[in-house]
Amino acid sequence: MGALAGDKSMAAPARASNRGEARWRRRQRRVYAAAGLASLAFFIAFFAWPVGAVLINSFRPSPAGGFGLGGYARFLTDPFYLQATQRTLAIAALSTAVTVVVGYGIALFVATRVRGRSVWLMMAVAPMLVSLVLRLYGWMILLSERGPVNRLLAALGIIEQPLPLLFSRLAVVVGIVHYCLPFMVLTVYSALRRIEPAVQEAAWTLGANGWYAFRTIVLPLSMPGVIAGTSITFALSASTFVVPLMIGGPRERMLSNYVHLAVERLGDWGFAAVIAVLMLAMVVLVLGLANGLARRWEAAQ
Amino acid sequence: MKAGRLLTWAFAVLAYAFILAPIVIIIPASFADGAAFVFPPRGLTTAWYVRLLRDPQLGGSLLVSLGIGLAAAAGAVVLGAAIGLGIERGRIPGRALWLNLFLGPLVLPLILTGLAMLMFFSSLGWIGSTRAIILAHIVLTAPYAVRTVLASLAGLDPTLEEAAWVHGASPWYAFKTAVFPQIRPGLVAGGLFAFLVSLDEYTVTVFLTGPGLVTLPIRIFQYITLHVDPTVSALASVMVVVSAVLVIAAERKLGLHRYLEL
Amino acid sequence: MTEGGARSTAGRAPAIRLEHVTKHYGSVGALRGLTLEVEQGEFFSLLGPSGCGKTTTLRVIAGLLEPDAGRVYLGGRDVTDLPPYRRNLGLVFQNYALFPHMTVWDNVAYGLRARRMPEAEIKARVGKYLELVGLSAMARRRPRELSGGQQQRVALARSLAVEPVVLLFDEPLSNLDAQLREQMQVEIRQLQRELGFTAFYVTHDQQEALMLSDRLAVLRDGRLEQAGTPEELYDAPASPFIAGFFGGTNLLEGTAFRDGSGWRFKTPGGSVFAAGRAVGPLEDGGAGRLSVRPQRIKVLPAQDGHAPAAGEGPLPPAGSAMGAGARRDGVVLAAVVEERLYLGDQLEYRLRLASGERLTARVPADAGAGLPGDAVTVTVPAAACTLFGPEV
Repeated sequence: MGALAGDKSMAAPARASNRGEARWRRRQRRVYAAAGLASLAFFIAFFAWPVGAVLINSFRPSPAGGFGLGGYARFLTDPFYLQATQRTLAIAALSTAVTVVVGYGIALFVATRVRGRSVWLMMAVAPMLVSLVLRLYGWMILLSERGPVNRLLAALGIIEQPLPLLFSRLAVVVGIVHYCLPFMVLTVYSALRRIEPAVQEAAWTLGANGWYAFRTIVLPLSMPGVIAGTSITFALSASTFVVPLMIGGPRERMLSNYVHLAVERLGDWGFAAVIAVLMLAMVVLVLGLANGLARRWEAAQ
Repeated sequence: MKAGRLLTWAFAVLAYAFILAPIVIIIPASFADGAAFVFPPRGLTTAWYVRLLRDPQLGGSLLVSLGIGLAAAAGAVVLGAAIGLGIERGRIPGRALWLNLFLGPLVLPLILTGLAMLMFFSSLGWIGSTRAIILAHIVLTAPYAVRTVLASLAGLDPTLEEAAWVHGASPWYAFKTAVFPQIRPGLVAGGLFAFLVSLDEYTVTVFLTGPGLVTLPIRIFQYITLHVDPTVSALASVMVVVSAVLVIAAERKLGLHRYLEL
Repeated sequence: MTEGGARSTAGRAPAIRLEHVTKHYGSVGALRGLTLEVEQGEFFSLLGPSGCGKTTTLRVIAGLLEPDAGRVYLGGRDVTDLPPYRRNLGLVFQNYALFPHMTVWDNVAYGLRARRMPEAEIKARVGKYLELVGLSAMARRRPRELSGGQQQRVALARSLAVEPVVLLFDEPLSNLDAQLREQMQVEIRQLQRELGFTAFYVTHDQQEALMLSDRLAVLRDGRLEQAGTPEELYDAPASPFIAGFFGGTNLLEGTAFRDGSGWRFKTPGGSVFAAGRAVGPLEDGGAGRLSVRPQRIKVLPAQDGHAPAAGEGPLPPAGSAMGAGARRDGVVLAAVVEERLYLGDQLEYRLRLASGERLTARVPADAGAGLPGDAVTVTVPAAACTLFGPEV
């Protein structure tokens, strides 16, 4: 054994290894830390810094003007933008409400499957891996004047004339719900899995007792997931750009679209920054509220 | 009891129809003769597929987007692995802060990130360049890789690395043979997410394209809304099928749903 | 590690030597100046309650933890500053720690490949050790396709294959069921005898340690409480803690009295015991603690609820205040059964002595002599009793 051949002259370097970790381990940790710090530097350079620049530019309302709150004043005094804000919030709120109800239902359905659970989950969630532009194209086909939905409604005798489904608020809400649903399903499903036995029991003892068990046990215990899913959904809904762009039409534009228009039509990057920063403030406010709500809920439990 | 079950399944059928309909409809619509937005179609045709093969614009954009997607996915995976290992194993202080920074692109309104990229890259004169789009996509897709790497590191048994060391493996050899193979599925899953997100990215990319550089989603958007060219329906159908195959394969191979769960 | 060379290495440097090893580690699992030696070819167990520092000790030897102070020698060489991968060790983990993405073969070959050994030699070694643990047929399987016992054998083969200076075991059998555990204990011991490697075995199971070890040590709060052969620790515990640790004991507080060359012990209630051994500084008439092995107490039926007549039992009574006798080689006491617990092969009696103290006795199941409430006679041989000074 080589280890036994320890020649006495070389052995036992009289160095005290007092406190701290061994050198080999420290060296390894430094390699990991260096890799981590390099990627942090990358992220600060290409994400944090540009985003910070937007914030700064929002106080420079026009290319010519100096620093000031002019851009914010312009936004907050223009009924056109206030209306757009109102519309954005209304669409986001409605979409979120629908997403919560449908998403919870799907998550509960998946969580109570005994067999093929991961298949049901993937079917509900995998659409988020399909291009959003393509999904919206699919909705355009479905909702068009002579498309399948109108045909179906006519065949059922519900309508006589085709409805203008596309380029309406309904289309935008449908698109946003479809876009956000996977996130909601995932958060609620994760919460339900953490309380799995209770969910299963509620599922097995359906009927009045099952409903009671659901109302008193499952629903309260899954509430943190619902709150988290709701805040994610609201944040996504309020800042969506592609959905109103493709299936909303000019009357259903949301704030994101005005940011883009400010750049493309007005060439006013400062004002675009103002709108974007206000959108961020809105999202942060809502997320903060949801966070506080979740904490209070947990404290109350 | 019976009624409850009936209600459950009725809801499930409707909900899953809602989820899957707009994706599935793309495939039959691509064979429709005449405008895609008429149902039922007047006749069936494969003309759009033939035209797709000869369409230099769609083909060019497809190549551009595939290249950007691969580069962005590779960058995101490297970045995700580095930050995941750096935070978990390198004990960089301020763990929560850095994690929030890295997940930031998921939370921030995309339009804000897009505007930020526009301002930043125009100051460098990089608007309309592939590298600007790749860098932006790395930032946007890194959160997915960070999350999957963190998930696989959290599931990693620390005694495996110790077993490697004790039995004679140097730290680098142990990483190569005992640690990396364990996080590889997470990296592949993260890379796949990154690739798919990059391939679909519209909101940020639209600020960065230039005359000679149009990515696929933007091109598709143009074909759908501006040109109303049904050739795009064939491409859409192909992409849906490819996405579905990719997702199913990844689920079989990697258990994708584990990485999706929060 | 040379096969069969275990006993011929007696003159060489110890396989392991810890010198005043200190490791601060919160309050649990810390080491406080631990000094310890393990001979070449020895099967040495480190034993102790959870949090005593035994796993810390193993990790310090392995190089996975660095001591705050003190030195670690392996085969006479100071390895304190060497990383684990330069120490040439094997370690069998509690959770096996097999590489899930590798076959059984690749797991066993791991340490050899890490050492860049030629493939041909690796093939020979892996084949040899897989055969030794009886898993040659499983070479192409993955760990998750094996049972717990098979996985532990693979882990053992992986550690053996590197032919380490010391093979470390970290509670390797605690995840196995009782039957498999016994089987593996026998196998490990046989392999160790056959191959002659030095084994350093950490466990919290005294039975396992007694059965496997040439020598063992008990650790308590990061200090060595006692080291020795299993017989020494069982029969001559150095402290009440050791006495209680192996097989449990009765511990009585009372007064020590000199009795010629030996010692006697008197409880506050007045019962007198003869002590076969005395440990630690004792004063005539001073405080002491008496450990009485429950397995060595005999329980006999009493006659008329009084002390047995002369000639009853192995120890004839000598006159005493409580109607019970005390002699050099033991005492006979009157007691009442408070509880009688059936343990299968044994009966456990919870007794109350006439002097008021409680005593637990374990007798063979067929040697029962009373039900709760019955008066009995208890004989306590001096060999069952160790008297400890107040400081021990």
